[in-house]
Formats: sequence, C-alpha cells, structure tokens
Amino acid sequence: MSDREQTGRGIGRLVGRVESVLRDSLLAQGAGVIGAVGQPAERLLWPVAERYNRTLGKRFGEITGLQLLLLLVAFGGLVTAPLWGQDYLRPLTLGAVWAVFAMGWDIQSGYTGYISFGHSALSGAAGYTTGLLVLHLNPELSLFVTVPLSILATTVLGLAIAVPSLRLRGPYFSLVTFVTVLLFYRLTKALSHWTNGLRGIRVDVFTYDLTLQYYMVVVPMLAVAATLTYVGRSDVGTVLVAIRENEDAVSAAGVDPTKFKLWSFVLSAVPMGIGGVLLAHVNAGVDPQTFVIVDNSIQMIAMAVIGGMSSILGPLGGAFLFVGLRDVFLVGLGEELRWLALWLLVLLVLVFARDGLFRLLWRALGALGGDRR
Amino acid sequence: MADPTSTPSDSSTAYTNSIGRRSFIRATGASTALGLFAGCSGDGGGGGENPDGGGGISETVTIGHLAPLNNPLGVGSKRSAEMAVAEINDDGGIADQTVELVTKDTRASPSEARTVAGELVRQEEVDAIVGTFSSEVTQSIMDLVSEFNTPFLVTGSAAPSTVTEFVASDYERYKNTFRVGPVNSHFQAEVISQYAGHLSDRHGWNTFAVVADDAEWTTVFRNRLVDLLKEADLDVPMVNGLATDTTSFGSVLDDVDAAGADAMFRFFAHINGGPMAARWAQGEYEFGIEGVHVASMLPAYYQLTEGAAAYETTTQSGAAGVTDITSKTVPFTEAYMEAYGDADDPPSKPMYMGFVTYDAIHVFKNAAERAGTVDQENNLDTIVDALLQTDFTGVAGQIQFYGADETYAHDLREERDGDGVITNYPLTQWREDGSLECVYPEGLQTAEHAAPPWMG
Repeated sequence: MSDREQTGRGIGRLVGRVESVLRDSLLAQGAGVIGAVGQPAERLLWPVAERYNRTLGKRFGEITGLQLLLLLVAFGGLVTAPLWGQDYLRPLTLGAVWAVFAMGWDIQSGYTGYISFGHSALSGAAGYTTGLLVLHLNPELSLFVTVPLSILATTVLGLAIAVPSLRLRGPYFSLVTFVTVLLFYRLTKALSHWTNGLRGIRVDVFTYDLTLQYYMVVVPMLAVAATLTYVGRSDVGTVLVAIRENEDAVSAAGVDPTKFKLWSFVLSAVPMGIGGVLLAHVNAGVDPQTFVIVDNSIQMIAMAVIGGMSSILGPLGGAFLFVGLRDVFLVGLGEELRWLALWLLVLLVLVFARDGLFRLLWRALGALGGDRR
Repeated sequence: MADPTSTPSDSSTAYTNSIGRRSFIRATGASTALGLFAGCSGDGGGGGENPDGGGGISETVTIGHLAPLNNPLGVGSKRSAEMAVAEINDDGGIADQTVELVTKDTRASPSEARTVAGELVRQEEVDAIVGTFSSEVTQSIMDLVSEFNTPFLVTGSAAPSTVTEFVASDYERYKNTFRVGPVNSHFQAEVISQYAGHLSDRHGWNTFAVVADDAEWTTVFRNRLVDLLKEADLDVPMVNGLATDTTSFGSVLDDVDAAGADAMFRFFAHINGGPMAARWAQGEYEFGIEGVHVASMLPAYYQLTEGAAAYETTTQSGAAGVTDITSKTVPFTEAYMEAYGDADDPPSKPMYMGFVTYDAIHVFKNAAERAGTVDQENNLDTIVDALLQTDFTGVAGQIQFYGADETYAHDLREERDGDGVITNYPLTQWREDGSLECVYPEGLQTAEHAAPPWMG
C-alpha cells in the first residue's frame, strides 16, 4: 500500500472514530435526555398527531407527537416574533427571505441532485425586474404589476438556463449555472446606465414599520413552505429523489427524467422570484452585491446543507440558523472570524452530519414516539 | 457613459400601498402586531419607537457614526469622531447634555448600511448620523434616515447626485441631509481643471489622460472635467473607466503612454493604484500621475509602495494636516497623531474623512445649540434652519452650506480665492524622502509641485 493510501485510510478511520464517538456518546446521551422529557410529551401529543396523520398527513407526511410539538413551537415562534423579538425583527425578516431562497434551491438541487450554483441569478432577475420597471417605466407601478412580472421574468430566465443544460448529464448543469451567475453579475455592471451599476436601483420599502414588514415576508414564506412540502411529499417529489438516486432507473420505468428536471426548475424559479421581490422591498433597493454575487448562491446552498437537503423544512430552519449566526450571534467575532466560523460549521455538517442538523433533530424526535419505531 | 443627471428622478416614488411610518403609528396608536395580538401584550411590542414626548434636549445626545471599518478611512473617521465627542463633553457637552457616540460598520455594502442605519434610528434613537464613505452607501440609507427625521451629515462620499437627485429634487423629504465635505465632485472636477492649468504653466504639460473607477462618483470626471480641460485648450486624448476590481495596470500605462499624455489624471477610490505606481516608477513612464487616489491618502502608502509613490499626487480634504488650512488644522492633526500615531492599525493620521467627520460633529453641536433642541422628531425644521446658518471654522476649512433653493442644496460651499480658484480641496504630493507636501492651491503650498526626475 502506498503512503498516500495509508494516509487516506488513516484519515478515514479517524473520521469514522469521531463519528462513532459523536453517535455513541453525545447523541445517545442527548437522546436519553430528550427521552426523559420527551416520552410524557409524546404521550400527551400523540392523539393530536394521530388525528393530523389521518387527515393532512396523507398529503404532508405523517408525524409523531414530538415532531408536531416542534412544528407548533416553530410556527408559534415565527407568528409571535414581534412580541418577543422586537430587536431582532430585521434579522428575522432577512432570515425569512433567505428561507424562501433556501427552500427554492432545495426543491430543485436538493431533490434531483443537480446542484445549482446560480440561484442568486434567479433572485437577482426578480429583484432587477422590479427595479428596472420602477426606474424606467413608472415609479408608481403597483405591486400587483411588478410582483407577477418579476416572478415571470425569473421563471423565463430559469427555463433559459434549464432547457439547454438539464438535458446534459453530470457536472454540466452546475457549470452552466455557475457561469450564468458570473455573467449576470458582470452584466449589472456593464449595463450600468440601465442598472446604476454598483449603486443599484432604489425600490420603495413595503413599509417602515418593522412589524408589518415582518409579516409581509413571513406569510409568503409560510405559503412557500407549505406548497413545497406538499410537492416534495407527493409523487413528483418521489420522482425527483429517484432521479438523484438513479436516473437510468427512472428512464427505464418509462418516466422522462428531463421533463421532471425541468419541472423542478420551474418549481424552484417561482419561489426564487417571490424571494427576490421580497428582498428588493425589504432591502429598499437592488444592487449586484446584495442580489447577484455568486456568494449568495453559495450561502443558499450552505443553508440547505445545514438544515438538511431534500427536506424543504430543513433548509427553512437552516436559513434562520445561518442568518441568526451571521447577523446576531457571531457579529461580535468581527468580519473575518464570523465568516470563518460560519463556513467551518458548514464544513463540519458536510463531513459529520450530511443529512443536516434539522433532519437529525427530526429523527431523534421521531425515534421517541409514534408507531414507527 | 451615462450622464447621472439624466436618470429620471424617482424621488416621489411612493407605492400607493406603502405606508409611511408615522401615518401607520397614527392610524394604529402604536406599532402593534397587526392587531392579531392587540391586547395580548402590555407594551404592544412598540420596541423603542416611541418619540420622546416632544421634549427639548433629552438626557443624552446620541450621535450615530457610519463608516466602513475594514477601510483605514473609516477607522480614521471613527477615531476623529471620538475625539470630537470627547472634546465636546470636556467642554460641557451639547447644551449641557452629555454626548454619546455610537459607531456602526457599514462594511462598504449598501444592504449592510441599511441594516445598521436601521439599528441607529430605531434602537439607538440617535439624534443625528454622521459619516458614510461611498455614494452607493450614502444614497442607500437616505430614505430610511429621512423617514425618521434624523439629521444626516455626510462626510465621505462626494457624488453630486446625493444632493441634486435627493435634497434638491424632493426637498421636503430629504431636507435632513447635509454634505459637510469634501466639496462635491462637480467642484472637484473644476479644481482638477484649475490644477491642470497650474501644471501647464509650471511644466508645460498640455495633454492629459483621464482614467477612473467605473463608479458613480467618477462620472463627473469622465464628462465635466474633460469638457473643462478642452475649454482651457488642453488635450484629452484618452478617457477610460476601469472596473473597480482592476488589479493589473500594464496595458493602462501603455495606453496613456501611447496617447502621448504629459500626465495621467486618475480617479481611484475603489481601485488600489499602488501596483500601478510601482510599475510606473519602475518603467519610468514619461508622464506624471495626478488626480484623486484614496489609497494614496494612506499615511503608510509611501512605505507600502516601497517608495514608488514618490511624485504621485492626490487631492485630499485637510491636506493630511501638513499645512495651515485654518488655525485648527495642524493642532488637530497633531492631537490625533499623539493619540493614534503608534496604534497597531492604520491610519496614523485622520485622513480626509476624519477631518470632515470631526468638523461635522462640531457643526451639529453648534446647530443644535442655536436651535435649542435635538428633538428631530418634532423640530426638524428648526434644526435644519440652524444647520443652514452654519459658518464654522473647521479643520478642513470654512464650512457653509448651499441654501434650500440652490442647485446643490445643503451641500458644502466651495471656498474661492480672489482669482476664483477653489481652495478647500488641496492636493498633496509624495516626495522622494517619503514626506508629503501640499502643492496646490498656491495659497496653501508647502512646496512647489515636482515633476518625476526621469521626465527631464
């Protein structure tokens, strides 16, 4: 065996050991603690979860009592945020916008395994459509005009990227999306007499009242979450995951994977459009740094990874966690350290918890109850 | 290139369904959570938005300061602001109230600036905001600070559009904004053209190339300056906008050389022209490097370029404190150097934004005392009127503002000598021994401009 192979195996063994230590000690202990608290709660909530499973569960997937509790606490927390988090409304609002982006990325890339590095171009298309309409057509345009047009523009751009590239197997799709976003970024600067270059275009905020603004973002986010969860748990979601696992098998079963990949991209473009419009108004403007730059695409991926790819609700949680760390908890570290810590976290999740932190939590809660043990 | 004045003004932009903060509060009594939870909570979650009851000057006066702290200019501005506040507090504060300074980092990003400006007006409830370095950042927060009636004294960015497209075109909305310095780039262009005449008289240089950041603040140089030079019978064979992330300059230098220029006027705030100077000095290119270059204002720039900076010039408000612009300039610079000259992180001198920010805080203090209030929520007009009456001898020059009805409403007035030469935007030149001299205008000169020795 060569030195390199030995080193490789050594590292492999080390990672394996760390994983098993984590699993056996931390997670087992954690599960023990959760178990002590969780069992009674599970018994209490199970009847409610049962009723849900018999009705909505058919559409959205079945859950146990504790999982229901998690959903209720998260939902309650989001809906009541202005009562407990006045000082954090801006990060929470941004978290909700990014949650829309992360979920939008997830339904396409997380589910089919065709990783896109270009989703910030999609959100940018929506933001810039709104901006250009307001700047060049009519500053008084109603949201009822700008919002549908922006979402439409995003979908058109999405198809323009997807149709030629999704027919190809392998890394081509990722490369095409990557180049698209670089191209888009350069265009915003090259066409600066249209786009105002780095300065960007001013867009009116929905409202200066942070509470109202928060709800104007969170309500669409919850709608996107419900819709995408429904789609993800439906037959469409099953096919998309099947494409990720074995595209040939999908073809062999008589289903056209290209068609489904295209659909997934449209499904993805619509939320990106919604998020882009929301960000334009929350941010009071569109500029290349906030919208298009490729780092934004990477951040969406990071959020989906932290939360758990191909689960929709995972990326939602991941987005809030990421933005919370970025804008609230790690701000004290200073610019450089903050980003180092964030990317280190993403790396650790990729290496040690590929299914994402929220999926870990979800499974831990599920293991304690229901009738799926 | 686009003419910035031709973009349609969108000042009156107001979606019919966008609700102003004050009208919303009026309509609801407080900013409760959509009525969903009305009555659920005692304080209605109004989190720090309650105007302070219309009193005069409150317990403490809070001044917010915004700057990019990853940039030495921003750090210089922050330190100068701290010095101004400490001085004012030693002197009894503003109308006997203690002054508190809250600095937030814009990270040079418009969206980050909106976030931190929001924190200043909502959570810190500041009585005024000073700072902002780039025009992109300045303009990104103007809507927000005007919504909160917060006096906003701009101390770093110089695009004329900040006043022409905002203050002058929608005065009622943006009357809270003033530019304390530097003179806006419309006048900067005039200074450069007058300086070109000076170079022509001194060295016989009559051909100039213009190379600039492809950014908002340089559009004036790429248009108006070129026209002014041509009016003065000077040749401008080359005008070039460079991407703001440019790092290689070989072709630019060759182009300027090929154009037969005697000097290159370069306008770099985003681009670091240090590598360009190194290449220029090494290649002994037959033209001077003049104009505006933010990196060249760094006190450590000469060392950073290992001496290649020698003979390049840049304008800078305050002239790096090497000359007596006013009687306060040199003492302030020395006090700064005593406090921070040995600090680990640059700058060891205030830099232009430091000079202007220091002045801005004093300007606000004087105006607030004349107005007898810092309660901008209810008395903005009184504060604005007091600011308009400003005639203050600062460290960067004599500060007066253009009136409400003028083209550059609320902008810093340029100072002119008897010949009409603008004097409050001086040029400094690095010398062979690493010293810095003020070479223009003549009234402030510490030395004559020197041409690079290889130009014989």
